[in-house]
Amino acid sequence: MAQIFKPSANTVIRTVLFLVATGPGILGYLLSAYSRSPYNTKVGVPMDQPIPFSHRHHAYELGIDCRNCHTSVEKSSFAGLPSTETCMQCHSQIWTNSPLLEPLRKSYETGVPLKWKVVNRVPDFVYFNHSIHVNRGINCNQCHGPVQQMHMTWKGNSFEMIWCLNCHREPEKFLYQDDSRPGLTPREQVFNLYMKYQQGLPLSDRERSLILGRNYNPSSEEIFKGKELVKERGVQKDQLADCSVCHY
Amino acid sequence: MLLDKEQDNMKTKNRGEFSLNTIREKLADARGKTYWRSLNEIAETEEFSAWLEDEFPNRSTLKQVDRRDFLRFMGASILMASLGGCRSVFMEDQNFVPYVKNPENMVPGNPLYYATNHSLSGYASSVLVRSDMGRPMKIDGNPAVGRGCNSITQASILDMYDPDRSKQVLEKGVVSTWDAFFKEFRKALENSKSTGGSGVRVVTEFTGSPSFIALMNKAKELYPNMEWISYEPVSRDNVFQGAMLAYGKKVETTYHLKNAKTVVSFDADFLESMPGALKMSADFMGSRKVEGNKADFNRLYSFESAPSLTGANADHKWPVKASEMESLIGYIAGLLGVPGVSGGSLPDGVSSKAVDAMAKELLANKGKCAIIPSDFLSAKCHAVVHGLNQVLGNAGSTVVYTDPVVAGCGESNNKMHQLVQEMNAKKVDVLLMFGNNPVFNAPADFAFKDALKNVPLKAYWGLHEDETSKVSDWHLPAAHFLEVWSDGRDVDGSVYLGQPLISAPLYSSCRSKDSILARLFLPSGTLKGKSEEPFASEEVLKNYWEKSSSSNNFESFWKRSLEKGLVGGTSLPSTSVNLNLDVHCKESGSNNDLELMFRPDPTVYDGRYANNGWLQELPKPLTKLTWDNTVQVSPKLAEKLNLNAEDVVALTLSGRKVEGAVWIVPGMPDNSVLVHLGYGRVRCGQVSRDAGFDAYQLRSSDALWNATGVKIEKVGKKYDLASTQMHQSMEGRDLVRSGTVAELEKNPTFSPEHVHHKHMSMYPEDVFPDKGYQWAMVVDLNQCTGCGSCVTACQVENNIAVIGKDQTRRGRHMHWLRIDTYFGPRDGKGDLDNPSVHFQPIACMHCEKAPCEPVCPVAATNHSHEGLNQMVYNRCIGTRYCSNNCPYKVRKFNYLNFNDNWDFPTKNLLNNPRVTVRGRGVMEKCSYCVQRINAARIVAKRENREIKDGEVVVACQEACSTDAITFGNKNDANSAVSKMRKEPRNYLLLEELNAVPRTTYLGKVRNPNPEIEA
Repeated sequence: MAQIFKPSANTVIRTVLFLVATGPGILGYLLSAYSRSPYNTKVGVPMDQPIPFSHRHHAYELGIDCRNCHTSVEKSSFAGLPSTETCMQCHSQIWTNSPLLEPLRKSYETGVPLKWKVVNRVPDFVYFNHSIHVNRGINCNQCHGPVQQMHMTWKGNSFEMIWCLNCHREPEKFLYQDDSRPGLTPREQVFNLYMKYQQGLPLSDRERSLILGRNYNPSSEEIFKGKELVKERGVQKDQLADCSVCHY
Repeated sequence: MLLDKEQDNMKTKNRGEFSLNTIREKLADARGKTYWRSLNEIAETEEFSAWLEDEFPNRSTLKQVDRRDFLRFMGASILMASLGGCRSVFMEDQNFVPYVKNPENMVPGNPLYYATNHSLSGYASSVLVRSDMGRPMKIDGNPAVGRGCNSITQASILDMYDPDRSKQVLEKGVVSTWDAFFKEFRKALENSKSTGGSGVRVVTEFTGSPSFIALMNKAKELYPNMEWISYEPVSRDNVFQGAMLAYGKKVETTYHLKNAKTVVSFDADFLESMPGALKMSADFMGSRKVEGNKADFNRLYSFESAPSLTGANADHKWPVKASEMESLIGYIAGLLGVPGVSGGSLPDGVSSKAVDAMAKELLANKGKCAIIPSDFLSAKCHAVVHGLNQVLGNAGSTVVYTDPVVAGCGESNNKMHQLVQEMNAKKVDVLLMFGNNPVFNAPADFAFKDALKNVPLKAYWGLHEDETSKVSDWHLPAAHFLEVWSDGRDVDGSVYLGQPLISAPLYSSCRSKDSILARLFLPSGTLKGKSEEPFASEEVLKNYWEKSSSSNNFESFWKRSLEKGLVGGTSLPSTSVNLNLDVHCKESGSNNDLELMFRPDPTVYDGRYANNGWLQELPKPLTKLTWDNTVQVSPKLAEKLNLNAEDVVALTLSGRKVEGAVWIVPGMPDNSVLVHLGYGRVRCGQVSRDAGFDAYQLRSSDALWNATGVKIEKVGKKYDLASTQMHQSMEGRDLVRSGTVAELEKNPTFSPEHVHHKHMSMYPEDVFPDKGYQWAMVVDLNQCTGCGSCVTACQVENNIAVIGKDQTRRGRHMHWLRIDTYFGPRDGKGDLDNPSVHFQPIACMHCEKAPCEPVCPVAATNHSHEGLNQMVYNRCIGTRYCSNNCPYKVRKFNYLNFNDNWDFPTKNLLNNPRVTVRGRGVMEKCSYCVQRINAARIVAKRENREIKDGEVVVACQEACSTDAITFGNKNDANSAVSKMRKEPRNYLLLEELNAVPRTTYLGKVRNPNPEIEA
């Protein structure tokens, strides 16, 4: 009787055994890599919108202040999205025939609102408040990435909890004072940065990283200064990482 | 299936059966102050110990699971959990939908507040409504008028979102249009014009609305023979007929209890249900505030036939049969020398010594006392009480008479009777009924439904397609009060304005009654502007006020009044009265006939709120029953007739018969049976289905409130009732503390033990700094009336689910805040038949050394740096260890997906966007309204300042009209809460467990008359 197993069967069985031993680990690794990848988090993936709105054009090239459209960012949890009317302030005068703006004109005519795809969002059990972050001097770009560089808007950061906690545990690493413009309140400093960038004024390393959406590692001196700012601005560092600050 | 058949511990065979005699003996033997929550507790039944030992005693148990099943389920769970992480793959893209035009004054994400009014039975209350992005969210009292808001008003917001609301005009049950309706009715009205509208009848709810009354008067000018009938099932006819007897004219009586030293209530529930109760309870309880160990405040005597909150809060209370109230009042009138009153005698159970002492006190407090009669007493009783108040010099000081506020008051019943006779005589051609559902709730002897058959054209306007719609030719969908413009009068005459909180009715066909009437009766073109649109009521209202306001600048007057919600200076001036009594009160006889009392339900009222889940599930203050009405009897009567709780009995009264379940209520007078109206709805909606029995079927026009000669028979069945009385029972010492004014001086803690041993603790000491914010709450039991408005406020604010009767019976109700009712000794002795009543609001105590925290395997509950016991829903895996370890039993578990509103999609619109909506398998509990703390913190930080004391107002505190709940920062020595914590009456609940709760209680002080108590 011929042998049932060929010599190659040894290799096959070894491979199978190897995969059985390592497979779950590899699968787990792949899954976790997937969940952290832009496929899942959508970081850096531009979204298809009804109107190809460019933040680079409006916010950087034209120099329109963030607050012109995101009107409630300083006083509400929600930053606010411009109404059709807000867009039409300008677009009833310029680019009035652009086919790209057809949905906008239609919305203005019919009263049916535009439907934008949500780029940045936190889950329903997270209560994020824009106003307090802006009022404590946290820059828009800190979370939203290099908005001034985006043609089609994409998500700048993963918005995972651990990413939030980076700052909520060590706020001193993220608070800074713009020494070139002393006397600005933290809130004013946030929007002053974009003006400086638009006008081509010199930027510090930290400010450049913010504009370009890069990580910035503060020096120990800056961290020391940040600690003073934490006290000065009344940030309750202990309390900042309590669950009930964001989850309730 | 993996689960065994659910075990139902409540279905033990001896359920609800115990010997009342044993209970009496036990109470007589009890030493010191014994407080008990239910009869089961004293009887020590198995059922009670099941509730005491376990927070959720009716759990399913896991079957023996074999290894393979176990692995299968584990594998599936892990797979599901990991798929949950890939949310962007499975979740649809979400959309941002900005406005086309930005609404003025609105900051997206921030709430807006509008003042409006809510009317019940003709009397309006002013409310402030929170609106989030155009959706009305929460109703609270209008601070410009007074604090607090009762449960019914708060919960009425749910009716607006009710999916069972009627949405379309129906003609004989078939969808029709407004145009068709107007065409038919205008034609009918034109035809009747020649006779001056003699065959036209309009039935409305009670109303005090000046603009509506003006509109109806105008219609009457055009159709002089038309009749307008104001009808309410819970009418106050007796009140006004009593005034006619005493003064010869109808007057509204208001009571000003701020300076009253002695208050006597004859069955009057002025703390909860009478018109103007919010203000009365604020005034009455407000003058009972105690500081330190000295107290000098008012005293309340209550003679009660139907147990109420007022009796529960009284210093002296006697159960008196409703039929004997007249002789009792006559007797007291004789004692005090009221001219023109004869007869009267003392009923059994009320000692002459006590009444003499009371009369002495009243005479000593002339001008500073008040006698308040119930709306349900006879006209004769009211007349004699007017005499009492006159003799005591209260008229003009504590008791003020004004012209009546409600149109057509005092003759609701007569007019309805007349209408029925006319209908039977075929004199009515066109009948318009606006609300109130007369087919369901008109007195049974009127046979209103049969009479309706004689009317050729009839329309009914209502919030639901109900019993009356079914037999009407036309059904018109009503707009909710939050969708319309309105005005209304409070009991003192103050006019409150109302404005819509939503830019169009939620269901677009709904219209207000004044817009319909204006279009039907007024010639077209009378109203300017949008008179053809659903909101014509705005024009009706504005037209009226433009004519009647004396202001030069109407627009500014209008805007100012709308903003505040009230028209200044409209409270009515007092009117002069001349007492002219000639009344003979009957003597109390040895009549042993059974008496039947009808009262509006404490939660669903006359039945109009039957489809409101929040109100159905709100435990009724004294019985803690939900979802049903019952046949309530005293322990003595239960003994005599051998009745047990949940026995079904048949009540027979003049040939009419209904069946209901028995509930034994300590404190009821003997030989009396109490039933609440408003249940047993046949046609209303999915919530009201199968709830309770219809007591209206027994009610006849000559005995609207009290009837004698009822027969009660056991049917031999049991009916499941859902009472939360035993749920979440706590075990420990001194749960409720109370004492008298005299005891307060000697032992202000009211604790029998003076030394508390501080136990060793495994928790670290002093982890909370004495700087910064440390939140704490103090509940002053002396201020709490037990009304439950805080429970509803909490439910609305925190998206707490309604779970239904079956789940409630299993002890799973989700209220974060509950009010425990304890019965206690009366005059120092244990008393089953007339116990004292104590209320204790219980929510999460936010213990500093919280027993729930160390047992959580995933740290889903832990402490914040500011002393909050946080509950992290997204971390919770539902082990329920925490609730098992909570001595206060305040944690609630989502056994099912209570918040998945498959059959109630509009409820999602009402969810507070500031609080997470919890799903199945998650534990939840009071968060000290952390969303409000955080909101206040953010505002304070933006303004670079500290949070001020009183800036964080938690939902329960906001709803309380009597200031029983105080919240704030205990580290701030000047805050209200830290001052309260230093009061000698301050005590910790279950202090011996050493959990150091942040919520503390102040003991209740009673002020009995020393001459009576001795």
